[in-house]
Amino acid sequence: MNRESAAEKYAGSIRQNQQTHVACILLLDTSDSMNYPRSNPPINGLNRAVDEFIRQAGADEHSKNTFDISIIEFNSKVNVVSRFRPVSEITPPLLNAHGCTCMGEALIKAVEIAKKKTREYQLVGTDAWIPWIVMITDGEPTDNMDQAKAILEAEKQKGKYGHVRLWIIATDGANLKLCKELTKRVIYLKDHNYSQIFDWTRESLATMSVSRPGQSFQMPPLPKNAQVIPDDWSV
Amino acid sequence: MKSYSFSLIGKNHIIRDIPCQDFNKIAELKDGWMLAVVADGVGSAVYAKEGALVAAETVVSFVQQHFYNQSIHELKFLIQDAYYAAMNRISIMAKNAGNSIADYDTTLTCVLYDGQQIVYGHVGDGGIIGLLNTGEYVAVTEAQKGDDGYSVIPLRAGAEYWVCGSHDGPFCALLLATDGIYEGLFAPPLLRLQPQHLFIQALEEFLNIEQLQDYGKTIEEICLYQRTRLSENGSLSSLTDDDKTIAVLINDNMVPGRMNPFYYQVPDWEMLKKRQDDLLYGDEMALTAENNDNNKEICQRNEGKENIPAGVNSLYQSNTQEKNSTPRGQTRILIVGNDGVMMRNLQYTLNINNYFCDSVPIETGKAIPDQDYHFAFCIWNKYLMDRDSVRADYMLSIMKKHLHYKQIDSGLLITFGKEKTSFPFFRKMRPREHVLGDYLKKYGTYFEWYHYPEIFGKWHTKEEINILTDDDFANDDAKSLIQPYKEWAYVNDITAELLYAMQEMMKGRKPELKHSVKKYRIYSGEIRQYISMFQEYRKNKRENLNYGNLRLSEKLYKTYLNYTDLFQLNFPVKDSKKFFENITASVELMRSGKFEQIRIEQIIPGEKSKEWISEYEYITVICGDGSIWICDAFTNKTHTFYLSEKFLQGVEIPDGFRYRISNTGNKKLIAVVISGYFPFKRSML
Repeated sequence: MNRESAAEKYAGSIRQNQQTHVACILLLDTSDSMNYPRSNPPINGLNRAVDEFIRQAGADEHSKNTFDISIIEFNSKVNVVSRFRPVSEITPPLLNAHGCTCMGEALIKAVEIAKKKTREYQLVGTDAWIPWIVMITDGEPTDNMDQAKAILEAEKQKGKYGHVRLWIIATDGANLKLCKELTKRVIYLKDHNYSQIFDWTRESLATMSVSRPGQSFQMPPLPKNAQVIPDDWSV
Repeated sequence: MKSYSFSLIGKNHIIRDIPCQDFNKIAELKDGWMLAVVADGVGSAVYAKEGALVAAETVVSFVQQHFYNQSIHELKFLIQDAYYAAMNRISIMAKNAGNSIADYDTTLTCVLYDGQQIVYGHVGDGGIIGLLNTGEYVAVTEAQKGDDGYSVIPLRAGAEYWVCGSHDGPFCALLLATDGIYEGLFAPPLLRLQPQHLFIQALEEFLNIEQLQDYGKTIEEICLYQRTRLSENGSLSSLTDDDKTIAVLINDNMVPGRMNPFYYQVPDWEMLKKRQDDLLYGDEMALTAENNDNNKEICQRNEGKENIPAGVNSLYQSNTQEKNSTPRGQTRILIVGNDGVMMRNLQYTLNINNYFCDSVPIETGKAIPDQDYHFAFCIWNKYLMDRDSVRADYMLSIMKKHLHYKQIDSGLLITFGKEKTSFPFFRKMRPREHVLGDYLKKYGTYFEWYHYPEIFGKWHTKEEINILTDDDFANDDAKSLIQPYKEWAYVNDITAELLYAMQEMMKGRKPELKHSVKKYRIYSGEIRQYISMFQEYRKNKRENLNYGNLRLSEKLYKTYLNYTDLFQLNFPVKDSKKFFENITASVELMRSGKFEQIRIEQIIPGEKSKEWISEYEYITVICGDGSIWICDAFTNKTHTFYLSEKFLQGVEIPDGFRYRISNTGNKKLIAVVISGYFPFKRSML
């Protein structure tokens, strides 16, 4: 052979630099109810779990190149704690719980950001999976949910062409009936131990990121403290 | 002609114990033509393998069966018909097995090649790449994906998504590839924002006959070499975990030329990734051409020239003598922009006015010819160009590069369509016409910028009528009919104005547009009303009827029936059997989501139409006498029906039948064919 093969020389570079991205918004309820019980406030557990999620995903060679994470908290208002960044560049936040639960506004904001991200991926030419919104809540919404419901319903109607996948992780105090109206992907957490469910989220995202578009993939098993409601959900 | 092809199972499929779902086939046809087909079964479909196999085999057998010395235009229809046949066969197979047709989803890409020119069909996320005799590589097709950006458009999506076209070439070689290898190596996503979307060096290794000779003496050896390095344990296995299929056709009598050395530079993948990250995670996305490439060195014409490496300079020397010695001393004009009714009409008008015209539709990825120009038109649909940053930035960067090395004396920027983008993201950006305007000014070009409303008009050749119905307002803007009104301009009016403006500007004068283009305000449903008014007018042949805007009606009417003379149809029809009772005039002419498509067949005495495959069609003859021959594609049972203008009967043909219309009378036969919609009472065959 006389010439050096450019295809062989750069195959690794091409593959490494154009992996399919996975975008995920952590939509976290930081209303006052997350301070109770005072003996073991759930907000502390949530902070630990988010910290662990970010550190572990950031340390994984594949995840750090493919996960784009945004963190949004909602209490009396909606606050984008971290806009979309590669997971390895996110500093774990220290969240404080206070105020009401404006879940409707938070969902509208999250869907807007997720759709914007999808559009950006398309414009830049990056292959990406449909963004996930993982909402963690322990309470009833205190604002009007009608608009959020309408937006989510419109996304649901698009079926697999919808621009978001909403997962709700509900703990004691959450309105499960409402959650089921919002999405078919509802997980009930029996306690406030968030670490395991965040591990599950990370593993699910990682599984998705290595599969091929169009292929179905096996989700990892849920942790013991989590229960699926209802049981017919799928990706 | 030489060819090689193979399909390899991907790592992902091996792990999951799924068979290879790709399929390929190459066949020799008459008169030196070759046919290559690749199909990629969609991963989520249960019987994807079967779908891909049946689709590819049906296309090959259909084309082999119906191929003779057709014109290029007819070959496009042949491919479309082959796609219909493939879809029908899959549909029947699914029905017989009690499955959904979606279970057999597959992409399908094919090409007919005579050693120079090509006719192709494409649906899905694979693609065709060609090597021109100049040494330039062109992406003949675009990878199609769903709205979500990653789902695949399958054959089942229907004719609306099938791309059937032709390219004059001349091509030295062609490559068809399924998405795994197409995106994994030849057109990697990282290059999407680059002016050059293809990884040229890799393509050289698969298509250039000179380089291929390094890999083996015979085509079998070459095929084995390529196959080995792409296989599971090969040196290129890491590119993708998906199935890999390529089919290559090479005209070994034609040696490709060489482009300039820059063309073969290897992209800096790390830099591209960094740029992509900057765009994705930067404070604000700035996708204008100014940030688009590493073009600092070619921002200033004078400074840039000093930076050109020795040896390359001669390739790009500005040559004013060349401009003055264009064929027959003609003025050389460049048209760059959206390929559409405006560009084609303008090119046609310039050609018949004896201008030498180079047209660069950005959709084709073609480069601007290495020439100076007296005048340039840059045309873009405002809405599309604001939205589609990749194409827009490509256009800006090729213009910028050209301006850097070559001269354009004066130019016109023409935008049309919606002025304000509805995408908040782009509102922040500097409009691209301003960016391009700045480049033109910077490089000493005298330019003007005109904006027009939406354009309607007829295509410039009779053969292109199908493209008109695909691209023009009847189809694309069917949705806009629900808006209260829309302002449109007639393309010939605009062309006349542009011609005048160009002539004035070339004399160094600012054009004074005394007669600005008339805008027709069309209210929802008004098109239909206008057409029906015009038919009424024509029927009565009374000149002084007060029917409002008849000029527009005439234009609209001509637009749809531009292959027949006005007043030539044999109206008024006698509708004694009330077949047309429920049909408004618009149904006859409009194409929309509801009414699918209306076609008018015009056949001279003693001749036959081409053979079509029915997609639920209703045919009636409104002028002349004729017969319709129908054949069941699967049982080969045939039927013949006689139709005449005297009786206004209709023939209803179910899906999947072949048919053709013959003129048995002694005057021109005109038949109306309505596809996919039945306003009539169904009759039994």
